Amino acid sequence: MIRIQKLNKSFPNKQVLSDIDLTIEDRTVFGLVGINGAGKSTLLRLIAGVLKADSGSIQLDGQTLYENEKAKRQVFFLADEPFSTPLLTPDKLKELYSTFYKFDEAKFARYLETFGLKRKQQVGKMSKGMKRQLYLALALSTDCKVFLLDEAFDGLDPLARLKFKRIVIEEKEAGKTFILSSHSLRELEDISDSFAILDGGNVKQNGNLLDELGKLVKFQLAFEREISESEIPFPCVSFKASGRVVTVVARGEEDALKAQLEALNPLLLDVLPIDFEEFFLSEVGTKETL
Amino acid sequence: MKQYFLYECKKKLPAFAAFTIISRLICSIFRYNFISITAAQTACLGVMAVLLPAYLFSDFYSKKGVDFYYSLPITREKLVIVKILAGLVFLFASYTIFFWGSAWKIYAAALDPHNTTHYSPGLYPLWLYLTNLALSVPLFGYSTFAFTRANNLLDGFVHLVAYTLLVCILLEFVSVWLEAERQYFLNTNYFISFETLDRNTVFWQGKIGLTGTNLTEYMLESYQVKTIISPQMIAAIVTQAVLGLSGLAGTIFFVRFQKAEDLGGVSKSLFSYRVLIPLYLFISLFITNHFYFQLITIIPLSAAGYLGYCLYARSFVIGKKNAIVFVATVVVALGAAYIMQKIYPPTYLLPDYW
Repeated sequence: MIRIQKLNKSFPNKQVLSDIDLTIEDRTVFGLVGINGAGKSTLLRLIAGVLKADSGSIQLDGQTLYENEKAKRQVFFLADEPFSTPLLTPDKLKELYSTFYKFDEAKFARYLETFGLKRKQQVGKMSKGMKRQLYLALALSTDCKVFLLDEAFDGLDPLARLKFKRIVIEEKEAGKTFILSSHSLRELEDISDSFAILDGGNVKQNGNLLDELGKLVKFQLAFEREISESEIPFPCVSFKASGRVVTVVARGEEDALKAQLEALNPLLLDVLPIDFEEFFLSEVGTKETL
Repeated sequence: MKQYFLYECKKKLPAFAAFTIISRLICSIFRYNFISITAAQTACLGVMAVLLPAYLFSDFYSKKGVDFYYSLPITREKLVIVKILAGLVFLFASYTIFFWGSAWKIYAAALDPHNTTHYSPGLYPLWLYLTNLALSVPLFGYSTFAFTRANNLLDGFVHLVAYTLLVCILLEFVSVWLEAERQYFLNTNYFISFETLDRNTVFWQGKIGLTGTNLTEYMLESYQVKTIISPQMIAAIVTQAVLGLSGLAGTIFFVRFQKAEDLGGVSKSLFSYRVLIPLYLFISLFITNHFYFQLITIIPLSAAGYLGYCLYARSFVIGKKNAIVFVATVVVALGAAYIMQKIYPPTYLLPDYW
């Protein structure tokens, strides 16, 4: 379990993270989301031990992670831009990681095959997506317990995303923990158990994804005339009107809210499923802020 | 750590092979002249000792590299120690190969009964080899420290040049200061003509080659050049050793204070431009004015110092703190030069001289 307590980090003239408190359980896929500059990468870099916190603590199973070889041996960090040098090859990277982690050669070969990568290929000449797949193969071939993947879906084509999600779910079942940051909320929703929304360096919302999504209800209504938000009988998290058709997202019990809307005599009233993106937008702001 | 060290050594094999072959080829140009061969070998060793830190640590100047290395389960101190050790192995092994790759010919020629023109080198090449190896460590040490004080690659190279020149100036100062007749506080001829740079064919040999050669010559007492072990030489060696070993220790010690988020940005370390600019400004103003004040040097050198601050601050407005240091440096340098003018007036300006 990763426990983050009262974590603060600032860069010159900018407070990036303020009093972050988070607990990430074992065997979960944790989605870290937020707009650009919210502090997602900084948080992952702090957990990975790349950055040193100004104050607060990050512990893995009770052990501080920063500059702790033993604890860090349980953690694999894949940055948003994977490292490469001109002469680096998958085999050389494997050799490097083998010096730090217990490395499963057979698993590595299997993942390389899955992603269609060659051992002697130069990493510097690979596309961003290929590099990410390579590092993912390397990561999953180690005996690490926690995987920190920044911009997890960046550069991956739809097929690779599918393979990636399948692998993450399999590995989670095998006992691994994943902390993924991404702007692809739909992809995250498919695999995440829990999440945190970072906004302006603070944790705006976090918890179990299904539970939190269940707290919001989305309605689609059609009226005989155009109506405004003020006519909706409860506070709206989100209100969108397109002519006489209105989409409303609100917090509360579905039945109670529905009863109040029926009082407006809509021509049509449907309850729609709410997705992670809508949830995120309702928490952070409008699409314009993305 | 041991496994990682072996990996680092293995990873550097292609660069190692390339440098060794190039050095060997350079040395082979002087195939019949022992002095030139050793000069070329020493020069190659010196160049390698200075540039090696850039090769070893350049990955740390990109966000990608920092994310990669600092997330590995190894402490930063150990990471740096491994890099330094791998560098020393690189340095020693490469020099050993290209030195003996040439030096064996000297023995072969001396053993040839039909060849009467070659003297017996005795143990001279061995001593030269060992002393040069020993003296390359300090050079590598302070170069490593200099390079790793920067926050970006360009500044790293600027630091390499700036620090190496500083050490040369310091050694020159030590040498001249220890001369029996201290007529000059510093021998300005060395700086103005940069005689130091070409005194021994190649700049680097001026510092490690000459010292090494002289020491060796003293040890063997078998070489034609009359050399005695002098206080200057001992002081130069001690100074280099202290600087080099402090450099290595400092590199390992200060890594814990280096913030990963600063890498790629302006080099704000205490050992970077904050000290280098005023130091160079002081030295240049002092040296050029310690006989008598020369406006022709004061104005351009001060302007250069100000320009240095502008580059450092990335603005023509250098800030209050920098401005105070800049003005104070000019005042202190000229004040020190004035004191020197009074203590050691140049003899050729005295009435008796005429």
